[in-house]
Amino acid sequence: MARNDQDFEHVEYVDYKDTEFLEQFINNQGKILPRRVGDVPARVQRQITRAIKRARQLALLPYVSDNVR
Amino acid sequence: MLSRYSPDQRGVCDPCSNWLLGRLQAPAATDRGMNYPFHSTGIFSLMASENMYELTYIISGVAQQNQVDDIVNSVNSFIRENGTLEYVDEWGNQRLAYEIDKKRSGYYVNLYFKAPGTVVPKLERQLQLNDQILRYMTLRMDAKMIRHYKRQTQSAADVAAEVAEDEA
Repeated sequence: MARNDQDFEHVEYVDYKDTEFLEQFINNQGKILPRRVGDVPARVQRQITRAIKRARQLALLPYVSDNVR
Repeated sequence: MLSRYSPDQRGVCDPCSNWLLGRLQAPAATDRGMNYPFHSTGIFSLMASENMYELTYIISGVAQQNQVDDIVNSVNSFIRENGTLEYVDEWGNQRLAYEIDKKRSGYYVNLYFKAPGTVVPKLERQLQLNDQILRYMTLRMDAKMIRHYKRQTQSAADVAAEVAEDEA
């Protein structure tokens, strides 16, 4: 996948507003993917998790996707 | 300056009072990272000094355009009175990822400002009381977020400059 080319080592801050980026790390139900699937450093995974949760509060990302509800 | 036993410092543990001393000698509001003892957050860093904040709020999608403008203006002027407003970004009407109060769309406003921490609860109270505002989120920006923000504004400025050049 193209995602493997991305350089996650030097990610300093994961923005909750960048939903296109965060959508890579949720499955079709809206769940956050585990790190072994996303293949990112632990530090970045924590930031992604936090950013996804913030985006959910502001209805930028779903808690549960419409297709499952 | 700050003895451990002075009444206003009660409850501050040793490492924290050392940290506070360091803060008082070199107060750098932009350098507020995650590397200070968390006990201290309530005493100085939240209330006394100016911080950079990021606020995003959603106005109900059924509000009229003039109502939306009123809300945006009142929030902006409240912040201008109590601090400095850095940048306001109105994303406009967007579909919500899920229904809030039976509404499927909302008008997003994202803004950055500098203010003392005491302003935030007052501002959030106003947002909470307004029925047209569905959601809001205020974040205190640490050094990393500020760097990210500066990088973003810089790249946006670069793009704008390039567009201007192409047109010229």
